[in-house]
Amino acid sequence: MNVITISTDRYTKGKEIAESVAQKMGYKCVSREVILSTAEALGVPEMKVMRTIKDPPTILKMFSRDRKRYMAYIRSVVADYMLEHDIVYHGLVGNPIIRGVSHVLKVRIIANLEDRIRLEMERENVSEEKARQIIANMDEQKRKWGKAVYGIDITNPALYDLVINVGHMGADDNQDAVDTIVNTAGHKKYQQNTYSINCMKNIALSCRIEVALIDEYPGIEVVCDKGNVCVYSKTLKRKNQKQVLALKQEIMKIEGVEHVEVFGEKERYNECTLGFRPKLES
Amino acid sequence: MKEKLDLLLVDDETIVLQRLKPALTKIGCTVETFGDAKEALRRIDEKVFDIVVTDIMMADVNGIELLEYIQKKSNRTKVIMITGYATEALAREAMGKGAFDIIAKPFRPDDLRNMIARAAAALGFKEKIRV
Repeated sequence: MNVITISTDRYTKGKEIAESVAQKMGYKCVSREVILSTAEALGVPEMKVMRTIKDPPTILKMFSRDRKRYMAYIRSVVADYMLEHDIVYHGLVGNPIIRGVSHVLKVRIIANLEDRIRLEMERENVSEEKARQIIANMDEQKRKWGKAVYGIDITNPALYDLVINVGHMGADDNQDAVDTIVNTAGHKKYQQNTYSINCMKNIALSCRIEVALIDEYPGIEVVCDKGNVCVYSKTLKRKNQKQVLALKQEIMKIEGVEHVEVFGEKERYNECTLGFRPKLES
Repeated sequence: MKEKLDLLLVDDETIVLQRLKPALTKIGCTVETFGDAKEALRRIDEKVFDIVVTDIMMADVNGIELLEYIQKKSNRTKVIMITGYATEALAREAMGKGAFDIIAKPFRPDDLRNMIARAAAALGFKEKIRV
């Protein structure tokens, strides 16, 4: 259940660093496994699921059922991995899902732009101008993806506990970055505790419920707290008692659920009950 | 080795003390309760407790200050934090300063009993606590 998430850009040696950290800590390094498990659960080709993570949604595709379905499954697979194993998660999906869990160390690895451009030129045998354009496009796509799927800028350093610029370290030496991550992860403040484990369980249960309901209720949002489940839906009317009851019964079948409440749009509910509009972290 | 765990319970909500004291006595702890953290500090000066369970948000002296004080007095005492205002930052602060565990209110007495059983095991009391 110890978790380190590593978010990277292309040519930042992120994968190698993640694997070395996992090896040193005795954790499992997870990245592509998430895609494979999701594709298997959905019975769809791996590439299709991969595109959900890699390509930013277009205006039309953003609302496609398939994309929402894949993302819900990916989130659930990642959350279950994080709940059940000691892992180093290398990829885009991990960090935004587990915000608020104190024992998760969130790392971002960056490199100097000029070094990345040089590597792109060498690898793809393209001009500097072309390489610069490719890198800029890839970075922009990632930013768009984060904004579209989670409403956050995944490059924002405020979202991470540790930002490492490998450009400041030796050219072929990842060891400094690995040591920094391992030392930070060993700090007492990143120790698991009952509160953080409960947070993780809440997230995993929310994800499982979203997966169970995604085909019938693609627009719902689920928040759990120790078996108490709040479901927010823009389309479901509380007045429609029959539909609400059916939804509650469906959710009650899921292991770990003790109580269910169904609400309209989340912000509207918060405005009415709490008297303010919650500010989302960005 | 002592027969019973000496446990100090600090919370400015009387109802919490009233509800938790019997639940913890039942599992074999000798429980002292304080609604005023300043009085709890005075008692900590007099006696080394095995486990301290403390609220965080309290007037005058908060749970983090209490934790720091206990850490200076005895590194053997296990401190369990309970709070109605749990956040990622608060959990990290408490754990970073040496808390044994932290849990958000409301919680079930069994949740706290489990935490105490783990703390007791860490102190070598494994066989004495019946959860």
